[in-house]
Amino acid sequence: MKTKCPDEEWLADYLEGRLSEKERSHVEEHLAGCEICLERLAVTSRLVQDRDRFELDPVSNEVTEAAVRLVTSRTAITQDSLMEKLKGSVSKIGSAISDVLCPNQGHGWQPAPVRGSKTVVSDDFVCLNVSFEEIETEIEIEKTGSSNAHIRVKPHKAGKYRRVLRITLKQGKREVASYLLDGLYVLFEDIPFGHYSISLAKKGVPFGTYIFEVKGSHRETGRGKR
Amino acid sequence: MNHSSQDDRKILSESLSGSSKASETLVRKFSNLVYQSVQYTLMTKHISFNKQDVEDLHNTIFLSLFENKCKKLRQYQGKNGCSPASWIRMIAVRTVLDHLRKKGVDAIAWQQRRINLEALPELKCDEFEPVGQIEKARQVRLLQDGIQKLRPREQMFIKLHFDHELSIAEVAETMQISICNVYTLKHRVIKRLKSHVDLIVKQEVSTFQKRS
Repeated sequence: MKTKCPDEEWLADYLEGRLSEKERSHVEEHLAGCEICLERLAVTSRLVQDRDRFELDPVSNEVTEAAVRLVTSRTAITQDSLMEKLKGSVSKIGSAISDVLCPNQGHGWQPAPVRGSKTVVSDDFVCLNVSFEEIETEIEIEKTGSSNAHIRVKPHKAGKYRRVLRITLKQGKREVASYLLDGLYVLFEDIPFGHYSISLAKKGVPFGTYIFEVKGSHRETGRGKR
Repeated sequence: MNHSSQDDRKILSESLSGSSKASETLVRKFSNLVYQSVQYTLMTKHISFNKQDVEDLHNTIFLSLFENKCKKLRQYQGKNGCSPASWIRMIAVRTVLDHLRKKGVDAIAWQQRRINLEALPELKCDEFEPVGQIEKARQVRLLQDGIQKLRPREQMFIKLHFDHELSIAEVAETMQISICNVYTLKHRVIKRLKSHVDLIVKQEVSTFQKRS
C-alpha cells in the first residue's frame, strides 16, 4: 500500500542525512513505490551536487523586484483584509454588548420612551425628571431673556458620578458644550431657544440621550430618545 | 545550525508575523536560489524554455509561499535542522516538476523511459540464451516484476541509477551511504534480478518442453 507522500522538509531531511535509520527506511519504502517523490529527490540531489554542470544565469534585479512587489502587495492586502475583518468583528461584538448593556451605543438613534416627568414651576422655569439608565437626572430650564435660557443638569447622587460623568449639550449634530460633572450639576448658560439634546456618558460609555425643544411660550417640549 | 540558517529562520518567522519588510528580505535572499533551481530543473528534464518561463515559475513559487495567508510558509518547521534554503529549493524543484507534469511533458518522458535488458549489460550472459527467444517486451515485464520483489532500498537504487541516470557517486550522496555500499547494493540487486529472471525462464522452458 502506498504511504502518504513526505513533505518537502522531510525529503530535504532525507537528502541531507538528518533522519534516523527507522525514518530513512520509512521514507525509502515510500520512494521505492512513488515515482513522483523519487523524481523530486533525484532532481534536487543532482541540483545540490552538480549545479555547475550547467551554466545557470543569475537572477536579474528586475525579476527579484517584480517578485518583491507581488509578495509585499499580497501581504499588504492580507493585512488590510485582516484589519477589516477585525474591525467587523469588533463592531459586531460592540453591537452585541451594546444590545445587552448599553442600548444607546451603536449606530443611529432609535426613538424610545424615556422615563421622566415634567413639572412647570413657573412661566420661566420648568423642571424635568429624566432617567438615563440608572442615573436619575433633573433638568432645569430657566428662561433668562426673550430668546435665551439656562439649562441645568443635576444627576441624583451626583457625588457618585463626580469627575466620571460627562454631560453634553448638542444642537443637531453640533456640540454646543460638554462638561465633566465636577459638582452637583452642570450648567449651560444663555442657550438660545431651539431644539437640543443632552447626552450622559460615563468613562466614554453613553447612558442615553434626551432631546427636547426650548421655546419662548411653552419653554420646553421634551421627548425621550435613546 | 549556522548563523545564516538562523537568520533565515528569523526572517521567515517575521514574515509569518505579517512583516512586509521581512517578506521582502525573504524574497531578495532566496530569489537567486529559486531562479537557478527552476533553470536547472528545466534543463535536467531536457525542456526547452525561455526567460519568461523561468520568471513565471520563479514568481509562482514565491506566491505559493505567501498565498492563503502564508499557508505554505507556515508548513516549515525545521525541527530536524532543515534550513529554509534547503526547504525552499525542494519546493522550487517540486513546483517545476508538477508544472511539467500538468502540461503532460513528464508523462510522455516516463512512457519512453523503460528499463530494459540493454541497460543492464551485466545481465547479458550465456545462461540467458533461451531468453533470446522471448520477445523484448516480455523481458521488460520480467525485469519489472523482479524489481517489484526487491527491497525498498534496492528498488530505489535501481530506479535512481538506471531510470534517473544518477552516477554511483550521486546515488551514494542521494541515499546518504558510502560509494562502497552502493557498489555492494548494485551487485546484490543484479544477482537477485538474475536469479529471478533465471527462475522464471527455467520454469517456462520446462513447461514448454512438457507441452511439446
